[in-house]
Amino acid sequence: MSNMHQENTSTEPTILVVEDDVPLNEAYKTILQRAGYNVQTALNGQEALDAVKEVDPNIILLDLRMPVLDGVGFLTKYNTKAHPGTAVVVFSNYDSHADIDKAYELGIDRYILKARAAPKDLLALVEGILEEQD
Amino acid sequence: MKLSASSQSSDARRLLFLVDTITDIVWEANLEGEIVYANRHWYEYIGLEPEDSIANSWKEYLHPDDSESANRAWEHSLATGESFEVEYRLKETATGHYNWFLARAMPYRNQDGEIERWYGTCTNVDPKKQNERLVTLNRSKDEFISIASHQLRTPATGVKQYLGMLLEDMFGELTPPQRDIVNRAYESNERQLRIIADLLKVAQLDAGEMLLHPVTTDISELVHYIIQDISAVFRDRSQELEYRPSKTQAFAFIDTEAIRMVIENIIENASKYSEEETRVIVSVKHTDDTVRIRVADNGVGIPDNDRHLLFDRFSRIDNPLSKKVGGTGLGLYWSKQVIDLHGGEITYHANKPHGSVFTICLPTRTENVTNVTEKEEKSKS
Repeated sequence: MSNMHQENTSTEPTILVVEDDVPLNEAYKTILQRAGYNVQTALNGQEALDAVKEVDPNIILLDLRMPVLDGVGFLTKYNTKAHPGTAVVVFSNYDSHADIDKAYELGIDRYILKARAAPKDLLALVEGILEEQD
Repeated sequence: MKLSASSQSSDARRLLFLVDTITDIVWEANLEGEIVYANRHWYEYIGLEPEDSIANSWKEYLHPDDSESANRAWEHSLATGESFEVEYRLKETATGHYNWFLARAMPYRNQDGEIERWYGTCTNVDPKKQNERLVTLNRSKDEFISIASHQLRTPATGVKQYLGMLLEDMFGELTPPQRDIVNRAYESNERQLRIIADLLKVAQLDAGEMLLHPVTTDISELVHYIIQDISAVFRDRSQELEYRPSKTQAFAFIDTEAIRMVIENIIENASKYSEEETRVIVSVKHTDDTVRIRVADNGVGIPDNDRHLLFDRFSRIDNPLSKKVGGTGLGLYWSKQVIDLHGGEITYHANKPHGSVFTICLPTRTENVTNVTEKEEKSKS
């Protein structure tokens, strides 16, 4: 079977934003694009799985509560261990201990409460992770 | 409109649908006093199939002791046209138990004033059921608050991003007046997000879902870090924050995150409810089995009459500053619940010549902390 994976040939890092709320999804896309990043978006876990088949992003910003396939569903199928070059950051407005523990069990790197992150916080987060990756 | 009419208009169908959603038993009787229609709840309670005749069979389900008075009252109403109201026990088929019902009925008169039908309800007033219902209602209240709050968070987060983009000059530099306006909107939204966070905290607490993860914590050190984080608030108001840590080691078995929020809340209040250029003193002391954290300010204090409301939910006591100061009225309620869960105590007394002193006492023994998670239990044994 041929390798369906495309090498990310662009020089900008790629960030995949997985968020079901459209205005929020577009806000994050705008913030990251204006900062010069290559941005892919997905409205749910299933779209996210389709997106990662094409390109391996540097960072995935992952919402938890989404229709069709939610965050945990995505993580279960995605298998973070198979993608060591990709940092997965849960970007959620739900912060129950159960959710957080479950997400870490599935191999995420960070858990951020969306409501506390202003645009500059998002950018600082992304910069920090990309620095670690180099 | 007769509910029992076989050819039903769409209005009647809609009404019947509505009537089926009511949790009371709803019925219709003819002039002979025979039940000609009953809603779904009746059939579920009595355990009859909808095709079964209802007419007078309801009387079989009356408690023998209530039968005579119920029948007499019904006969009386049918004869005189007076409203019917009686309490009796009906047997619930599924359990075989009797439950108390309040039955009420009124005559429906046509345009000539003649009675055409009787319409009535039977409301379950059984104390046991009332309690169960209250518990269910209470739980669904917490669930509702949780769901609504999470839903509200999403658009508020969106607003934070878009206004944030403007404030961070992502769409060109703002003029000072523009920045001021956008900043006010941003701050209003931040306030909204804080209220949402408070609501979620309280709903979780009320639902008994707040799990504590206690660890042995150095309280003096914890308070030190809290004060460091909060110092900007005091600088902005030209207020002084003096810290007197414990002279001896002060450890307590606490959920650090929860207690941190409580102490932050109390210290923030001290700043909020004091004028500029005043001083707040925070002290930690270890005595016997307790660690005592005290926050004293020289602010507006709390009127004697209002003290009993202090730790109640949503109570915001009127004082010269409360109109300027934002607040949800949930902070102290939540704080007290958390301290109680830790087996501790939070008290208030007035400061001289004016102001407030809040004292938090936390036990240093482990047995007093409730809602400890399973992990903690296992590691202790």
